[in-house]
Amino acid sequence: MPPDAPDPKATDVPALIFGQFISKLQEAKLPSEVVARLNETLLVDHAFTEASLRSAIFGGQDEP
Amino acid sequence: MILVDSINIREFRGIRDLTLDFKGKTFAVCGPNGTGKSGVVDALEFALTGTVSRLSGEGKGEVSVRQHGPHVDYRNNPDKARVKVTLTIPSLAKTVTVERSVKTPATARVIPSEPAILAILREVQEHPEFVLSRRELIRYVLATPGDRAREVQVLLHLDRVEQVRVGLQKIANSVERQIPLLTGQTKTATDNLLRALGITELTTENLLAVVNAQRIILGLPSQIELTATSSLKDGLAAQAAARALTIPKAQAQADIKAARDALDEIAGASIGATAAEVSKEVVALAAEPVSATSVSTENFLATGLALIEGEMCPFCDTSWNPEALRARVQAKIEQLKGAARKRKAIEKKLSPIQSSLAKAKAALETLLRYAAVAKPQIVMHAASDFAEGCHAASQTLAAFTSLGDMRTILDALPRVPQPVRDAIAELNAVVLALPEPNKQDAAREFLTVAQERLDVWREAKRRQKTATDQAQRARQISDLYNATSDSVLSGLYAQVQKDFAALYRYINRSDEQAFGAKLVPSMGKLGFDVDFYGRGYFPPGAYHSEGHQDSMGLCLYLALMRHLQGPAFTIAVLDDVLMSVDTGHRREVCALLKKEFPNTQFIITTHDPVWLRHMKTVGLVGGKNGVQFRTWNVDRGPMPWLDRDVWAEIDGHMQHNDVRAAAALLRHYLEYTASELCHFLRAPVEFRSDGQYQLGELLPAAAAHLRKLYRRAKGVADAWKQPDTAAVLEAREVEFGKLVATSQLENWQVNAAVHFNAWENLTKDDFAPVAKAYRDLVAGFACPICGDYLHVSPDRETAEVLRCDCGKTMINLLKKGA
Repeated sequence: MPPDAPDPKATDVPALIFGQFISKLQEAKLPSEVVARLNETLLVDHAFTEASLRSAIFGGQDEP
Repeated sequence: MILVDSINIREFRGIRDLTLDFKGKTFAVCGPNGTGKSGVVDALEFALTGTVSRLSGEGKGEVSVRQHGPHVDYRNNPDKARVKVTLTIPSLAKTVTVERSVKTPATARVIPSEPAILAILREVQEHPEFVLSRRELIRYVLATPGDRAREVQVLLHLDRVEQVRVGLQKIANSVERQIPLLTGQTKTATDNLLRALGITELTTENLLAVVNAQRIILGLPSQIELTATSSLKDGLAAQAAARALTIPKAQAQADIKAARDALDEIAGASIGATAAEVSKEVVALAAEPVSATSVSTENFLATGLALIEGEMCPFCDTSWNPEALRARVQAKIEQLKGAARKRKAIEKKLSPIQSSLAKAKAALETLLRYAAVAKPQIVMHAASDFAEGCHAASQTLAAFTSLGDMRTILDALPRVPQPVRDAIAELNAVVLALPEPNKQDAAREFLTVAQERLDVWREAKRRQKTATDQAQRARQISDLYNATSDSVLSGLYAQVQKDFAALYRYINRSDEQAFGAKLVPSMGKLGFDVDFYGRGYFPPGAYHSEGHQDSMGLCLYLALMRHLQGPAFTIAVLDDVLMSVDTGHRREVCALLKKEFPNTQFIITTHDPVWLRHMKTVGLVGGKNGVQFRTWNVDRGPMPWLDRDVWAEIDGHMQHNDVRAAAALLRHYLEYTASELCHFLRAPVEFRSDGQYQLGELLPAAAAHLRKLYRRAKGVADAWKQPDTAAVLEAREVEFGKLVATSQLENWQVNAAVHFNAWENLTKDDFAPVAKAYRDLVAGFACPICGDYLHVSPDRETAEVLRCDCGKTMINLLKKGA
């Protein structure tokens, strides 16, 4: 491998799935703020707990 | 990503001080059980990741890297336990050293410490699956679909994917679970509103009709429409504020009747029969000890699973491996699924009971408000207690945490205490005694109560709608996530399935050329069926032998790694992974690794010297890229069969005049070496089915065959009219013959020392010529330039050439026209 070749990286299957999931949410016309929060949670903050996901899905909305 | 050039291990596990030179190429570590092979694997994993999978994770109890990583004599001085590896990073054209001490396993000393290098080392650290043991390998093959999915998820780093799937599923379920409760509350609010309005169907038209009739009595304008903020009392506020709180007689009578109906429902045959049926099921559930505790345990574990974050326990600060802990907790939850199914069936039957309890509570609370403003005030403690009891009972049934409490509630349910009915009767008497209100007062009371109940109804509807919307959103998101992950994983597994089958077919091409496999992911499970000689698809453990299962596990691992890491799959450590595979198929495994993974450095351990030979024969492992451990002891660690070590050790014994030890070591070494030489030279030896050959059967055969090869080569050189070559070969044959003659001359002394217990009669001076003769003889089998043993190539069919690995010795064995 030449020295200037990029280092081959392993496929990040979770990131692949999360990325496609966000695209599907956009296609399904879910509220844009929900999609943005889920994108932030999964792909930026890497927060995967139930509490993080609940917060992303419902935002500050009170529970019924 | 990386290639490992060398490793130095000090005071780590069973190793005192060992350096192995991998040269960045595939390397084999061979030796009997307990000679330290796995210590090398542990050390390599530790150097690259800071942990040792054999010492962590499920079933390891009190064993840990920190406490048990150091050599047993250095367990109180973990800083002495160190592993240093030298790596090459081809993409950066850099050589890097990484050194790690057990004292600070999380911190590695990296030289040079450059960001690009550290990034690649982090990448390696995030893929500890480069180490594969047979224990892990067989889990891919023989696991249940759920367990296999978890194992493969760890390998593919899918635990995060699974965590999100479970989280989204739980959110959708939990929001959906609220809907029946909120629907029940809305129904109660609707019933109360209908009762207050005196109508049977709640429509805007019906509502406005009865409300406007009362407003006309009060001289208020009729309302034309009903919006979300409309007030039925519009214009009445000032008049109503001036009035003291009173009991609306007609409404109170209707509410008293509703409360009595609610209590009758609880005490009725239908609820009684349901309660009795559920009570029996709860008793049966409680009679199963595992189920009885598992209901609450499952709740506890499911809650805890979502809280596993970071590297330490938040209570006691004990460090943990979050992935391993999550997998462990999830496995326990799976075991409790049976209890969960029974729980769900009971929960369904509890729904009408909970609805009746909620209705009774709401009805009694309405009466309690009347009692509070009655004159004189009516004390209804029994009714108040019963209402609270209904609420508590409903909560206990919903929580499903104590089967004993649930059974007590269900058995007591049909009984409504008489004091409750007495209190209602007392209130009823007070209400009946109230004077009939005039039309205006009645209209005012009607509008006030109607507005109160409309507000309650609106709030109940709002909450129900919010829950329904949230449930719809959560379910849609969860379904989309499942569809997306299943789609991505199905694509990945389809490729892995194809690759796996091709790899397995290569190893077993002699009899399973049509082999196929099905790898089917579905909702957190991974089905795995394989073709059995065209008779159908079955789980791997159903009909295939243990050896075939081992090779399936290896092929599945290789296929997964190839698709996960692609060109980054540069290193894999295979720790005795093919124990049950026969020699023929191991040979094919060697060929497979060499052919299919030319850019991957394999570090392979095996207890089987035959497999080591196969690795060398097919060229998977270079001539010197292997080490054989001959023995191990706690003071010295593993002792490899290295020439310089053996001869130095023999010299050491002789210096101490310990001829017995020197002779035994020489004999042991010659047995090992003679076996290797016969294999390399393809020397004919009388076959033994037990594989137990003696030195006297092997070494003379190897020596005689080498001389024969020299003579044959000389004949070939003559035929090719190469007199110079022929002369050299003749000289080599003569020289080698002298070495053989010398060693045979001294041979009886070796036998005497080892077999006839005559060692006490030999001195250092007696044995020294023996050792020298055999040392010279062994050297005579090697290339004088590179020192590698000469070997015949190819290793089967017609012998074409006698050569060494470096290619400096290359002796033609094929005559003209052959």
